[in-house]
Amino acid sequence: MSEKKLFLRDATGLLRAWSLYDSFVYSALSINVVSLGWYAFSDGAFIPGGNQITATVISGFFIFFEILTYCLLIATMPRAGGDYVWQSRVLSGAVGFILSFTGYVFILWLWGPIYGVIVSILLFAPIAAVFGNVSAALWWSSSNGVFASSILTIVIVSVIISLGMKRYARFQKWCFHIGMVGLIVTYVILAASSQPGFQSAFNSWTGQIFGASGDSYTAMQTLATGGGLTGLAGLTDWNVSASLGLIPFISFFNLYPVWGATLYGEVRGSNDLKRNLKALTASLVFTTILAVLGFVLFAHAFGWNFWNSANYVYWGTVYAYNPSTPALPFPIFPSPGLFAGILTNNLFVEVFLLLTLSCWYWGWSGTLFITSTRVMFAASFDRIFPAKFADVNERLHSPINAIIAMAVPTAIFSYLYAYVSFAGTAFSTFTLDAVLVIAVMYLGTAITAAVLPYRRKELYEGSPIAGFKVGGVPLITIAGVITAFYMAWLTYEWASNSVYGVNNTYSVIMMLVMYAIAVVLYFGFKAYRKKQGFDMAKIYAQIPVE
Amino acid sequence: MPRVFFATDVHGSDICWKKFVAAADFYNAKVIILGGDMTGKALIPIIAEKDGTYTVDFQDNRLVLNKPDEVSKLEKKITNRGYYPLPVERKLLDELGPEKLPDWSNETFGKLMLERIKSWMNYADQKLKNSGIECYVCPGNDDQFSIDEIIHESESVSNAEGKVVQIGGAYEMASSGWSTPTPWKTFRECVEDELAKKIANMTDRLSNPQKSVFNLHDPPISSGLDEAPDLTEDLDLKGGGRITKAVGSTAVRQAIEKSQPMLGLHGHIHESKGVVKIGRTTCINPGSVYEEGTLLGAVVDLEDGKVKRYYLSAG
Repeated sequence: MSEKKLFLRDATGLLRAWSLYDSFVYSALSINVVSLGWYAFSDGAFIPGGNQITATVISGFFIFFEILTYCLLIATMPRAGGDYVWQSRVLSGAVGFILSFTGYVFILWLWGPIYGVIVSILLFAPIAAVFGNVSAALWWSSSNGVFASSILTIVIVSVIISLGMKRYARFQKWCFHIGMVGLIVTYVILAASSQPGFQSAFNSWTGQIFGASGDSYTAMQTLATGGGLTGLAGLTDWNVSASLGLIPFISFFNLYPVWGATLYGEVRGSNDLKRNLKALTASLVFTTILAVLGFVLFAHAFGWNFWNSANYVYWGTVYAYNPSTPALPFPIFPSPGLFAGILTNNLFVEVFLLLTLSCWYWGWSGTLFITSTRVMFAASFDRIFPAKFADVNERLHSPINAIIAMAVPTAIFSYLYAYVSFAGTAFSTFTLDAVLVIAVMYLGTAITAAVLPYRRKELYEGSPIAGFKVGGVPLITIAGVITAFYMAWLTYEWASNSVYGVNNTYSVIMMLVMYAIAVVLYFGFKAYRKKQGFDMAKIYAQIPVE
Repeated sequence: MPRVFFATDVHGSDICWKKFVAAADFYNAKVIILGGDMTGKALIPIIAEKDGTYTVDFQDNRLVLNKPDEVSKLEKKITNRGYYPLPVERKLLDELGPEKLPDWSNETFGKLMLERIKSWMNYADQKLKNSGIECYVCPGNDDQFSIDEIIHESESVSNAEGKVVQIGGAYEMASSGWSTPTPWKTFRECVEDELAKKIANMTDRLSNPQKSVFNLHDPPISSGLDEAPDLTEDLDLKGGGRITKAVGSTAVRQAIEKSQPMLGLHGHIHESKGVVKIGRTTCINPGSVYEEGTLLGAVVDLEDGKVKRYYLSAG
């Protein structure tokens, strides 16, 4: 019997520990290198001189402080509802509601079609292509295909969540393991191949599937150059200043290792700082290594210039379609998984890779609605959101109303994303709005962490992190300030540079409408509850004790 | 219209008890009810070493203290988090050795728990005596039986266990802190049938069940107020704690479904904070985060035999 155990008694809830590995898996899927990474990395060619490895490593360094900030907050206040609860208890109810509802609820409506695009380009379109069905492959990449895959995603995610966390957690772990098998096989194939070998395989495959003639490999690079690709940095041109411009793209992939924070209040022992820090940092390091290894292997097997050219040409046709552009020899998303399959010239391997790699997507897909429902619960308990949204259907053990509140608007956003343009600006170009609004919420949480020792002194002094100081300054304040700086810088970059597709009038209007809805909801409910006789100020207030 | 404040599972936290007592004034509640599990879970030895320093293992950190005022500050912190600080000399621990230490530890634990409850009752008597505030507690499954006697001696706190009491001069309340068996084999556990009998003994005495309050520590099964992390045989969490299962009581649920009281007050599962309707009954588990020194609670206004309004507080 350990000395520690000697001084415990058998009381409800005393557990051994919770699995570090499970926490790692959830976090690694939240910043998963296949679904989010390959999509984000395909924008690398749009920042002249930017180096993907430099940008990934620098952003990873700052994300570590985000992880540290969240782990310290979880250790101090492990509550379901995460950001909403922390911000509302430390800053104000209005800030907590407005930032968290936009960051975890409203902006997830836009994430729905983004999830749809990802599954379309990483699975549906390439699967159709390897079976030689070109029209289906092109259809999945079209507006109709994106809308269909978005609706499919909404349905699948709703069903997955309705199955309950028990089944979902198992499903997720299996997805991670199968996805890892797919990724390892992909990387092994790439490591064992050569660039001339890929060129030959690619030319042969595009001829066979898309009817392209001649050297498609070179033709793609010529098309990219003709389309404006310039200043592409080599794999080892570390250029730090130019690479900073890539970070707002890379953030699409690695900004959210703490996505599970809203769930942590449900986990006993979840406030274990060291375990959380180990698990989340491990997931960040692991994912960053996978990403960097990927860059090296893509350059080795496909050729760095080719891979970036293929990405550049693909997004050029999606976002700036010109009817006079000649038919592309490779008209679908240049997924590294598909390219690895092409290298083997074996249909079975191609299908195996696409299906196993898609597990990264399926394991991650549930994150679309789960966190949103937890934030709705927390706000409902505070009576600032209708209690109906905290109802759990007894038969299905599932928050049906909260799921509907996510699914219906997400379907509407999917339609807008697939079909609507505002004065020539496609709604789909607002993709990085989805990251910006989350970064603004994280900014609010980082500020919350920085001021927590001063605004909630008693809570801080009684917490396990009270002793952690650097030069007399609380560690949580230092971590919060660094994280806040990073989030503010990202927001500034998105707002000031048009390459990210965020700082146009319609994008800004869309985001402002979301914040306005949150403001109206918060103050509307507050007034309504006041009329009902509630003293809302007391919901967040501390009971004074002599 | 009586306003009721309900909190639960404070597990020895001194600051939470003081907040509970102060809640009556803060929330303008006429009746305050503590649902159960009043006692803490761990002793924290503050070991006086031979070199004059004090070593403490607390919150996953080993602390070395040099001055007595640092020790008294830490004692307060430990007490507010619900644990029992235990000043002890290294020499004594060495003398007890691994054979005698477990018995000594158990005995000390029991003594400190009773001392804490006694100090709480004194505090409540100072603050609530002649205030007109009704204060009820109901020891929960984690509370040893000997605390009942100490509560009984209080002039301002009533032990509601197994009783039907009048609250707010208007409504009846039936209370029990017993739970169905847990993996920890705690003090007040019984099988479903036995719990059903305990509840029936009270509900049979209610003059108007539909206008009553059920203060039952164990939440109704499959209500969403009883979702606890699923465990392995070694009491490890399955799926990183994200896999939960309903661990409430069937007997409690059946009693609520049959009697349809206006209000059900529950606790036991700290992380399963929520409000649900079972038929016409509003069932509330305010949850507990006692280790933070924050008192989670429910403020409920009762009117005309109904729950007029409620909100969950974090004070």
